[in-house]
Amino acid sequence: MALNPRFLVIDGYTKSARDELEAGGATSAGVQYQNMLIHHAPGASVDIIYPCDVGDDLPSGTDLASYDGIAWTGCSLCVFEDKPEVRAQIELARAAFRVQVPGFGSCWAAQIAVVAAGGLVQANPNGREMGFARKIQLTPEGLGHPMYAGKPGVFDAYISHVDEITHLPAGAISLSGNAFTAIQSVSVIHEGGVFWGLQYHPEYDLREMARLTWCRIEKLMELGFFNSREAGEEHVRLLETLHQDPSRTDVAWLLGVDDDILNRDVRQLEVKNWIDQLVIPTMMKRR
Amino acid sequence: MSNNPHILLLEANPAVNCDRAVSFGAVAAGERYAISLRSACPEIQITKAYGADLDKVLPSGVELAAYDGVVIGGSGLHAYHSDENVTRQIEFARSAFEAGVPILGSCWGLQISVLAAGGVVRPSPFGREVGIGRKITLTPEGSGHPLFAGKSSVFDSPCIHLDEVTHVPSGGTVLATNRHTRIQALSFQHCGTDFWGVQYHPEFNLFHLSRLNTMYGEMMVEGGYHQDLDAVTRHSGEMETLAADHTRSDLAWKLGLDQDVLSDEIRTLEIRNWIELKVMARKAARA
Repeated sequence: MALNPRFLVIDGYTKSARDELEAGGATSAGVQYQNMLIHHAPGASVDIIYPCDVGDDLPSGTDLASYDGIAWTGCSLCVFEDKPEVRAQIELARAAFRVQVPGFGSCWAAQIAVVAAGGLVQANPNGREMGFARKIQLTPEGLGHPMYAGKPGVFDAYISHVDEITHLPAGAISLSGNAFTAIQSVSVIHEGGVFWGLQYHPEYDLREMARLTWCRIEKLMELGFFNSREAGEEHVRLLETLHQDPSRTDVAWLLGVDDDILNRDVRQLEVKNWIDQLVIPTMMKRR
Repeated sequence: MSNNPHILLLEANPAVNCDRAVSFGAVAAGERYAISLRSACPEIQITKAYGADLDKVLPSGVELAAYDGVVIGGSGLHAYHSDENVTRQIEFARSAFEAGVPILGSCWGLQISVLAAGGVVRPSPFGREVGIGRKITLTPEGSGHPLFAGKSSVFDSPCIHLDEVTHVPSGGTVLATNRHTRIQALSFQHCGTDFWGVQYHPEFNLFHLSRLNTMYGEMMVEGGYHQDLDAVTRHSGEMETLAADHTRSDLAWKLGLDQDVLSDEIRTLEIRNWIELKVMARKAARA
């Protein structure tokens, strides 16, 4: 019996949003997720779908049920905007719950799982949280949750979002939070399906954060993160310098980042735990 | 006798080092503490003693017992050295315990009080922790301790130290911790006298940190925190700009600083709590 899981990655970005990021040198979210899953489950196979491209022609029922895990990327859409591409993904999330395939995802993914299960997402009154989410602290439930087995009780993580989960649906629990965003991770159990979601992005690394920042410099200037284009470009250079040369402890110190950001095994422990503690056990039961 | 609480504040650096700090636009460590004490409690009366200057007499016995509290701040000395300017300060801490005066210590103040009460201080295996002590987390005991009343359970704080407490005096309680330094805050009783102390420096503000960064510039380059002296100057400049203008949210974001460091009120809450709960109680009991 093969123990190599089959993953479906749902890249929620629109084609134009993906093209914009790729033109700026960023790796598309779906491919980042694919790379991360294969790193932690080397024999796994990964299919990527782009629901914004295919419209209503989304996998359902037995198609979805043939996967061992469904992982959702972040997305630049807004979950409480009533648009066809948003509605289609909420429906897809509901279908994924119904087939009871373990779900996982970052940012938009956590929000869409919460909304699909009956919770609420709203604009964060603190505005955009960008770069490094600082001092995320596990809740008592998070400390005992299998997704965080081995994770420190307080950590930083990559982040980029303006919306946040404000109200959990029945069957969901908050696993972590920080001063900026009360709910930084959730476990949602709905119609017998289990979804573990993070508001932050374990799939990013310094290079991807640098490229994303570069693509968003104008917007970040408007929001007050940079007071000039030069300041933005200098910040991108700092991130890329440390990415290329991890021995530059001066840059890590200046950025105020530790192993929780820099070491992939620490940063992506939630993903590894999802595979080891939810995907594979569920797969063993179903096969 | 005045009605105001009266603190004995130990300046723990030799005069030559105090003068050097002033020449770099900073203030001496003791004076920095005096400023924070006065801002926490404007009516406080402060008398300074000079721990590292052998020609200055240190109070003991009845003279010391006349105070409502003893505060010991930072020093560039090493608590485990046997020089007289070290040993006489440990002796002073012992006298304060014997005199029954509540003690508040930061950094060196924590370390020599620990030695006076039978604990152990050694160089940190992780080297110097300098700038911002990040992700300091209250222990369950710390969450319920009056030193941290009103403080969030995870916070950053200014810090600069090479040594750390490795063994707690008998009956002591670790109140806060982070990845670099297991004991970031500690309380214990010795000779029936309460000691509350922190390894970090709630009394430092951003301007002071900037001046220290410049003063210790060469050491900071050697330690790998900056690539060269130009980087030292840039970093000091950014901290100073932000210190002068707290609306520069771009710099706060770049430096990874939140209100726990930027707000004097939040940062110095431990000092305020100690005054309100220990100093005022002793004053009331003596009246």
